[in-house]
Amino acid sequence: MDQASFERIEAFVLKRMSDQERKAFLREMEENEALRSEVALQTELINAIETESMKAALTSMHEEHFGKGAPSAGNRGVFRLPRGWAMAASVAVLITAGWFLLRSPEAPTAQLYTQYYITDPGLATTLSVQSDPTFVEGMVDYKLGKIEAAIERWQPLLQQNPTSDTLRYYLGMAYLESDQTMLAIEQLGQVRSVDTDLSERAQWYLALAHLKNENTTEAVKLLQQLANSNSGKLSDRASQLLTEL
Amino acid sequence: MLKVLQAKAKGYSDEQLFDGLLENHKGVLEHIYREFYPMVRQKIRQLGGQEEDARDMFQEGLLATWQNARSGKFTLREGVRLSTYLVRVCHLRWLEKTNKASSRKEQAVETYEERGTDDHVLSRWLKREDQDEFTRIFGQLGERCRNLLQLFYYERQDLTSIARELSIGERSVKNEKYRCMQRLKKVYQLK
Repeated sequence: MDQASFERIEAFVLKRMSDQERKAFLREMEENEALRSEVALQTELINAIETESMKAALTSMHEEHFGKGAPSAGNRGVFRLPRGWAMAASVAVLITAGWFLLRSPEAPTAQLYTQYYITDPGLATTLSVQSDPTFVEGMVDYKLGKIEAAIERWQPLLQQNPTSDTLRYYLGMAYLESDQTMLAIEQLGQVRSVDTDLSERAQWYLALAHLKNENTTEAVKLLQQLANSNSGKLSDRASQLLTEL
Repeated sequence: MLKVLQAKAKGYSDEQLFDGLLENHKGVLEHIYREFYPMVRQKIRQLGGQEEDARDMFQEGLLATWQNARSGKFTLREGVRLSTYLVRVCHLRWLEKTNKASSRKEQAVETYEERGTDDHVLSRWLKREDQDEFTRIFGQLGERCRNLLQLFYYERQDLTSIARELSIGERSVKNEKYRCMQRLKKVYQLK
């Protein structure tokens, strides 16, 4: 089949024809059995590609939100330690961390990073009066996985708004997501040092970024601070990760 | 798309969820997964299933819901919310799997799939076992082709975005997409 015919059938399957074109195409199909077969085959293939992609997306979502390393509410409900056990775990964490500092850092950090790193889902992209449109557009890109596009929007915006911790945090996350670890460390380090709602999350991801960078000593320091803060889920996650280092 | 972007930070309306599902919108799918999976997991556990069973039933149920929505077999109407429909489909899948299905199940499936569709021509979904075979065939295609086809057909990205992502021209994207589909068709027809 030539490319023009393929693209015409594709336009029909993807419903990208005008009403008039569609009606004409349907009339043509009625009279042309070969065309009907081609449409059926192309539809089947496109639907199968979509199904394949959807299956992969669902598997990835399950892992992210309910898998072994997910800090989701559902998971916490199932696996949360009783209070006494948590205390015992904290002691074990300190012992393990101390032991770690005395030995040579050869832990499989990349594997642990993969296991514990979960993409920050980003902010809701609701347009509001307070939102900077460029920031929101960057957030849409970020949420769609177009990380480079998000970075392109946010970099100049940060120069104009250097005190925006939210912007700096998400720029850091975008760098981390796109494997630009040193740049991520630079941005997240600044957010972490300022006492905001984001500083704890920034510290968690900063620790993971150091882990990715095989700087285990720095990662352990940050994780210990988080674990000792007893401030909630990230504190628990930090304790858990320390036990594996 | 705009409707989805206008959704409130915490919670989509049923219509927004339905529209997002039709558009394969990642954020909406994630929301559906996070909010509704625990409901299905609880149900499957009550019926004696394990965590893995719950995961499988939920994913199969969500796929079926998505396909039925796309085919026009499932539409939102009074008394049928997306969550109700989804949990029901997952429940039926579980009954089917555990051979506990009775005439009640047959009736229920009919109820959930009986609605007609305007676009029956475009409702050609592979059966589960055929889809598994397709997975194997699709895997033979090469990463670049798979990526391109997924970006275009699943993520619904336009040619300009794909061209930018692959660092090629739009015309090249069109040509490459055509060649990939022809290769896929050839292997698929040989199966």
